[in-house]
Amino acid sequence: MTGESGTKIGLEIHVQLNTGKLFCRCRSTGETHTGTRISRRLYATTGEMGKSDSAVKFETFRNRTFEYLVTENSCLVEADEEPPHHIDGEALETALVVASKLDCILLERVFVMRKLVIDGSNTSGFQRTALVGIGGTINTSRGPVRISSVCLEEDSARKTETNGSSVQYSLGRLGVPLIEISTEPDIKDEEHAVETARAISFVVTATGKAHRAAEAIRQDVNVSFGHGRIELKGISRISDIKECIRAERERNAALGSAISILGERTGNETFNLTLRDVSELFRDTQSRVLKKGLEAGNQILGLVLPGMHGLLKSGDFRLGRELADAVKTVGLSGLMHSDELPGYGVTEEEVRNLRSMLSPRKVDGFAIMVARVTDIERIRTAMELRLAKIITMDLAETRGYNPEIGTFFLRPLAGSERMYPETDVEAIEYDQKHVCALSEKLPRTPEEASMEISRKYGISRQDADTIFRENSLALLERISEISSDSRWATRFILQLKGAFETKHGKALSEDEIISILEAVRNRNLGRESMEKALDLVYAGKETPLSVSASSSIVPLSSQELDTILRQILDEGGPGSEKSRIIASIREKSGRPFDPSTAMKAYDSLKARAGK
Amino acid sequence: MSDLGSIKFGAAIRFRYRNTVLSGTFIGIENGIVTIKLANGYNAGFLPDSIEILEHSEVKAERKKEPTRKAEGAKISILSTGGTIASRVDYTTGAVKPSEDIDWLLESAPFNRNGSRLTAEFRIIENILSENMKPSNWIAIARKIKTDLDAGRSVVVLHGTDTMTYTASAMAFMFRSLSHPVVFTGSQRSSDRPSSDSFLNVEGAVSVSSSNLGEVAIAMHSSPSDDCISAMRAVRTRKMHSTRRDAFKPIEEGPMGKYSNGKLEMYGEYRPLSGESTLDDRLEQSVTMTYFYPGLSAGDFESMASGKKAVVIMGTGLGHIADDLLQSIRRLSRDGTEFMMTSQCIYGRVNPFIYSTGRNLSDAGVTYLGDMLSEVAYVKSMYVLGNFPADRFRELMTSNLRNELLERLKL
Repeated sequence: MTGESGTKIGLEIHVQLNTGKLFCRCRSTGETHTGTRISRRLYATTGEMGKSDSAVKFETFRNRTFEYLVTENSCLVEADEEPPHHIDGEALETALVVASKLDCILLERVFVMRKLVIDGSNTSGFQRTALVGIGGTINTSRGPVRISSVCLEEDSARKTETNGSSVQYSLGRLGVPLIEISTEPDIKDEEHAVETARAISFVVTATGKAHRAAEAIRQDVNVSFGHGRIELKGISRISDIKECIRAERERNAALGSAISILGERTGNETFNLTLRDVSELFRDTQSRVLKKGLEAGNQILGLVLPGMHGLLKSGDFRLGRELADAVKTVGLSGLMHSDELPGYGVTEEEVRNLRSMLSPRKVDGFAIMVARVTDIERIRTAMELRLAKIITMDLAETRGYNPEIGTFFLRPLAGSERMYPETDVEAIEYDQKHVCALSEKLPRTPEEASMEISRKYGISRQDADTIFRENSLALLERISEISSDSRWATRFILQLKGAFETKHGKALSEDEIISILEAVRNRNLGRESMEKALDLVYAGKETPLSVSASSSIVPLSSQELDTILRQILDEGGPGSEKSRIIASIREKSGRPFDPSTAMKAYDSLKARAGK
Repeated sequence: MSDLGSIKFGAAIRFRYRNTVLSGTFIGIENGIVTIKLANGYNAGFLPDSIEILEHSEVKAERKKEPTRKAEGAKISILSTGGTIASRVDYTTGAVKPSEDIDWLLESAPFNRNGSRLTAEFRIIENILSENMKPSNWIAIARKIKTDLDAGRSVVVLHGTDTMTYTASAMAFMFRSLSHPVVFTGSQRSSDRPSSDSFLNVEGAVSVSSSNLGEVAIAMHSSPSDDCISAMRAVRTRKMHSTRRDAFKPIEEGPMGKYSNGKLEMYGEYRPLSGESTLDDRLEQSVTMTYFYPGLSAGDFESMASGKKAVVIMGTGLGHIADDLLQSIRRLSRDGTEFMMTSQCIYGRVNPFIYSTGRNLSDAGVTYLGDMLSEVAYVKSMYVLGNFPADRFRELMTSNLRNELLERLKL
């Protein structure tokens, strides 16, 4: 089941659903902040079997406070001030249908669990998650890939700011349903990972319940190159999967060589680091980072990094980054090390003084950082733990990925110890036959999906294809229903929306668009008025709330049309010519009208004038 | 099936389900569903007939932890009576139940973080959810508190939030004077959750218990944030929300103090500590409380009230009930039942002189209790009847014994 020697690759695909939130009746969208903030702390607790998880212990060690911004689409449930309501039926059904479509064994009851996550991204300190299916498969051009599980879970709160040991989150995304599909490590290489991710995403998109926002689909990639499982988290573009696997493979290889050199120099026994206050050397420093740090009342701490000269940052070696990751976990912004000094405004003389103060051996590196003397113990522990882990080439952990800098440390891997039952929600019974029937009806291929859309909405295959690929099916359904005109809805989604955005340099959310269209429809006005209303809001002349009351969206009556036409004809000139008449009316009235009615009126006026 | 019956909670098992072999940890069988924690940590439910057990391990019974801990020279006693704050998940039933062991709560509390350790004596004196508290429990709790006070320790009581006002008010009346503070606290999110309010509530309560407060207090979150604990007068405090952390609010007055950022500030008007603690440990239990509503029949009213020594009526607005209940009140009063009036409005006082209904009720013998909270009036009347001669009842009920009455209501 492994690809290249020792390589194992598995995927976890997360797809946000466009239903309501999973455990309360808030909408999934509408993340406007109300101005209310709450601040919280989280405390480590033990899992069901009484053991506590390494990821959880790690967070307790970090000792952070969390601030939450309350949003329009959040209630007491997101604030952890009320127990969860019953599960969203539509989201559960979608997850079950997806599991069934992936040939999973559906479980008799759905149990909601709490997965301890105390990095603050969940106000409760746990993520609610339910296993709905196990043991499925998905077929790919390079053979079947086994699906280990399909889960339905709550999305976490979005991080908006980190400020030392305080982290700020917005509650808008918290609780949005997320289907998580995990594969076994059956994936052969990067290309195959991309293909598998596409195939799995298709199954969810085919339900029409996948969310359309940019980050609605997120992938976690599990890779191992023989040094432990690395979970690469939150990759939002499928094409990035390839790059992040490659980056992590290179990191593994470079660490391997760096550690063997370090071993020759130091024997790779336990590292005992000594941090000391070296602020006095930098009293008059021109380095902006150090200066700012000192002014804020911090100190500059320095230490020798035994045997690490030339391994911190040169060629492929990047031990410096590993150590920077370690100090970041205790709230520092990073460190500067000997392979990059002088630099960052630190002068040669300062480096010389630092060297003579720390007196490293030739093979040793050294580093400085902005911190408080009182934090020395925590920093030392964090760095020593990091080194102890990598010198044994135990690379198992959770990492993030950024195309600019590659992968970076996030936290230790979470184990199964961090799960225990969500006691506020009873085990859920459901109708398996109904779920299987629904899953039978789903299209099997993207072609089948667009054919079905084309048939149902009476639009071209090509348009249907674009609608499906861009995951706009739910939007099409809503706009078609409001406007009673699915062709116009298609034209709006595929052309008008983009044209408005380009023309006015502004985008509206889907919710805003829907609310504008509904308000216009509620005045019994047609699609000319809808277009006009959207134009006014895109142009910033009206707000989504005010536009439906505007007189500018009321179509011209035939009498008004006649009056305007007469004026244009009286004025004469090029504007009164037949080919320009529509533009002239638009210019004069600024209100919507039906062009074919206008042309007829023009013709009859002309005819009368001719007599 | 015979296999399943012999498997214990926590046993490692391997089993077959629909041609797939799975492994996990056995949790239990309930309502015809076998719950197994799978290797990935998720619980899964199976019909007993659908699985075939291939193997399972044996589980040794765990030794129970000693539920009490004595600390030499401790200045504080923490007495647990049960409730959410002392509750943990029961993995066999999936419900939250009072726990036998509170060590973990204090281990996790922030005051035990930075090297410093709280020296406190812990005792579990009851283990019940607060809706099951009875006046007889109040007496037992009061006597246990007295022992600690006499031993020179202040007392923090862990209590369920639902009836905390009743128990804390009972303590407030029964202790005529206090030598050390008595502080009640609880939690709105059970302590097994990382976001639990327990840790900060306990920390705040412990801090308040080191003050010179000579009144019984309730210490709970001031807001939904984990940054401030209010010290509130028990006899003026009410649970005003079913789930929020800041459910407890002092009614018509501010808190007596606040604990924030590791510091306690006491600023309200309160009675300071006195040299000794005096306990009047009797309560007359023949007291009832009745909520008036449109349509309450004389029959139903009488079946609650007859034979009682005292009845607290929660009337509408200024303290009214329907005219057709007047006859019942007159008759029962003649037989010796004391009637008292409080307001359903919670905020504001009752007043019998604004409408004729009030005058009639007052003439029929109903005592109007100003702005006294209904629950407090109920507890106070038990205390007054239990410890003083009957002819002083009305006088004492309308006098301010423990700051339960406010002379001035501020905007």
